[in-house]
Amino acid sequence: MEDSAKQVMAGEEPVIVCREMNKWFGDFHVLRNLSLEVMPQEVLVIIGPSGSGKSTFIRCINRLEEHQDGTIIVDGIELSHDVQNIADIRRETGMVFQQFNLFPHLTVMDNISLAPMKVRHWARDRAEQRAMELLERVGIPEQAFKYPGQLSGGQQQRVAIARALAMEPKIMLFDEPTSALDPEMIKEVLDVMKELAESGMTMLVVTHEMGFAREVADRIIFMDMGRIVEQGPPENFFSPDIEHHPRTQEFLDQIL
Amino acid sequence: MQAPVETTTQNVLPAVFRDARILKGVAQLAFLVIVVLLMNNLSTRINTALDATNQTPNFEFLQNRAGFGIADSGDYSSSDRYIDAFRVGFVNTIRVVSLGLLATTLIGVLVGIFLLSSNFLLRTLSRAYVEVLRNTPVLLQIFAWFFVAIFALPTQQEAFAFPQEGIRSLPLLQYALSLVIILFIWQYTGGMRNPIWRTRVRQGGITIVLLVNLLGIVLVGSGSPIEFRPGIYISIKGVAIFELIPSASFGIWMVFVVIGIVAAAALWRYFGFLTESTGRPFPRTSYTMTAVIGFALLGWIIVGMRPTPSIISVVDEDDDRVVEMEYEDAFESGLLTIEQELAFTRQPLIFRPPTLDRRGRNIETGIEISPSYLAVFLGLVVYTSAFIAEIVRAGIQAVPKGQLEASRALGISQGEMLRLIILPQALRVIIPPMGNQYLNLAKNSSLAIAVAYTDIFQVTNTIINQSGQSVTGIIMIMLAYLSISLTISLGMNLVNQRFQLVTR
Ligand SMILES: Nc1ncnc2c1ncn2[C@@H]1O[C@H](COP(=O)(O)OP(=O)(O)OP(=O)(O)O)[C@@H](O)[C@H]1O
Ligand SMILES: [Mg+2]
Repeated sequence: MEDSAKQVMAGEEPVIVCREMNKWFGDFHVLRNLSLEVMPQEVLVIIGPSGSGKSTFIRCINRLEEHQDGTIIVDGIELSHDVQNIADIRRETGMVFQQFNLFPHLTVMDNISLAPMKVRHWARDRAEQRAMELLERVGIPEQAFKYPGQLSGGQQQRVAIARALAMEPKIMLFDEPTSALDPEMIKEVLDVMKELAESGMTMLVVTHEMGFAREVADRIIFMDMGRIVEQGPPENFFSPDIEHHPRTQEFLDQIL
Repeated sequence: MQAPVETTTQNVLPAVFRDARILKGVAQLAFLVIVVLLMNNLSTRINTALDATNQTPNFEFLQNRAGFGIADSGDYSSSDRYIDAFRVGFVNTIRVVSLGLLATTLIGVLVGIFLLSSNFLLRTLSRAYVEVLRNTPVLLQIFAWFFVAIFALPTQQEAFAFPQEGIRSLPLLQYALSLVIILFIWQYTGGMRNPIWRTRVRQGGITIVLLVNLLGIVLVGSGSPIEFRPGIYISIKGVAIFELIPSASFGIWMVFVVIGIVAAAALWRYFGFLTESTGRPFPRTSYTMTAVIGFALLGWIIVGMRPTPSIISVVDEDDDRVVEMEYEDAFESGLLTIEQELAFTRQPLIFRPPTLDRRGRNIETGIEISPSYLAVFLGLVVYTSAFIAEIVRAGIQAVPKGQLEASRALGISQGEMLRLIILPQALRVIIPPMGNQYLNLAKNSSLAIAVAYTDIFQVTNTIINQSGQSVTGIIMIMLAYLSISLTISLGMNLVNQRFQLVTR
């Protein structure tokens, strides 16, 4: 299925640029010479074996981890030690975590409207109205005044997506959003993500859901030992006719 | 195939005796009967024994003359009754416990935050503080304060005085102006949206003002000369602090203060409402502070405009004659009695520095804090603060890292993350063990007896020794501590309820 809403225009500026990026945890070289460009509205799925640095990579993009070498430019802003730049970039990127990380002491409504009010300085009415719209979009408007502890995992993750969207980010980062969910809840979260991709959001998704990758991704990145080993559109990536890098082949053999 | 399940053929007891609820009820009843019997037996034995020595427990003896003096006692004297002595002891315990809880919380929370500091020196020092203090007995620490720290202080004649006595010149007007400029900068920048620039402008502005001040002192030097009188003395006899005595016009001034506080509360709510409805942050802390301080100052000035009598009769020092003289002259030469001064002064509060009596031994005016009180207070506060610091550290660390990452990813600032995300979650871990430490401090205050601080325990001990009423005395001590502990528990439970999480 081809989505008509999405048009990745040629000649447009990339929204994320990583050049020769390196990161160490102490002596351990986690990310090695990573270079990557992401175009607006592109959906990137990052796969790879455990410990290959997928999480570390996307966490570098909003400065939850600090890279030591190379350049990261997000929406024209270079990520450096300048706190203003970091704040600006975080305003443009939303993130969804494996463990949801909702604020347990706040209602669903407050979870979603907190950041728009405190960071974007919206009036409460506006923030709550927006929160309600987003809850409808992710399909759980009736849960608005419950606490996270009263929701199922799938519902919590959808609230987390709504919370990230409330800041109206240009880019959404997903770090294994369905890995902590029971199988019957995975679909409800993936459906929300699919809808988001169709609406033209730029997305970087770390996931083990190959069905989602095949169906929604514009490009698949395979990482191993801190490097991008191989990348390409899903048609090529999952095609049995294409010759893969031996590491990729090994990984694909295991999961497919 | 399974063998058919054996039915309860050999169980001959009727169903009532197998009902778990009934069995439990019977067991509890039996236990209660045994306890009542034992207590009854015990009290009969004690009563007979005490009757034999003519010491039957009663409460009438409390009306008898106590006949012993108490060091920290206010207006109590040895001719008062036992019940008065008991009251003095209770008040003294409350004095240590209430201020102690406040101080230990402040210090404990601060040290707890220092334990998590990224500054190596601060972290190591606070770690050492905690380890040394919580691993030594509190009694030893009270002794250390009493016999080492306080005995190292100078004698009363050479007491440390703050501020040092003398006439000094300060460029007061310049200071006042600088303060106004700083307040202005602070208020103006409160509306700035970019927090980094706000901090920069504030820091820059304040630095410039301070530099100009420094330059002014270097270039111009003096201002109006001011006479300084010491307000606090610290010596081996304890601490003496100045008194502020409300004068006749205090009531009128308080009206202004109350209006200021009400106005501040209204402003606070109004700015909160504005922020909610427009999203714009308002510097409501500084506005409300300005309202409180502004009204207090205004009131002070208006009260000061009250006319004073032009002529007043005073007793001349030299020949003990009553003379009429100008109020201003009488005031200048210090001939007014304290009553006259309180009735006619222009200030709502009179500052009275601590003074010694004629023999130079006891404090005549001012508030006196005895070395015993200091030793108990410091010992309890410092010891308990080490435990509170650990509780606070653990509470903050108990907030999952994911919470911080989620806040950062949303772009929430450090300060708001602390206030809105970390604190509410840390408090629900911190409050229950904090309540235990508060109870510990209250109960440990009975160690006051070691340095002869006259708390409830020490005083009642003396009462028991004199009257022989040991059973009554012990019951009264128990009731006193019970009432303090229950008050603390009640308070902590109320606070705790506010921070419970709602889960499924
Ligand atoms: N804070 C840290 N300190 C030290 N090492 C770390 C830290 N975080 C991650 N690592 C290491 O870096 C490597 C990459 O971790 P990362 O979490 O990015 O892997 P991943 O590809 O996301 O794996 P998974 O699929 O299991 O989530 C791992 O070997 C991990 O042990
Ligand atoms: Mg990971």
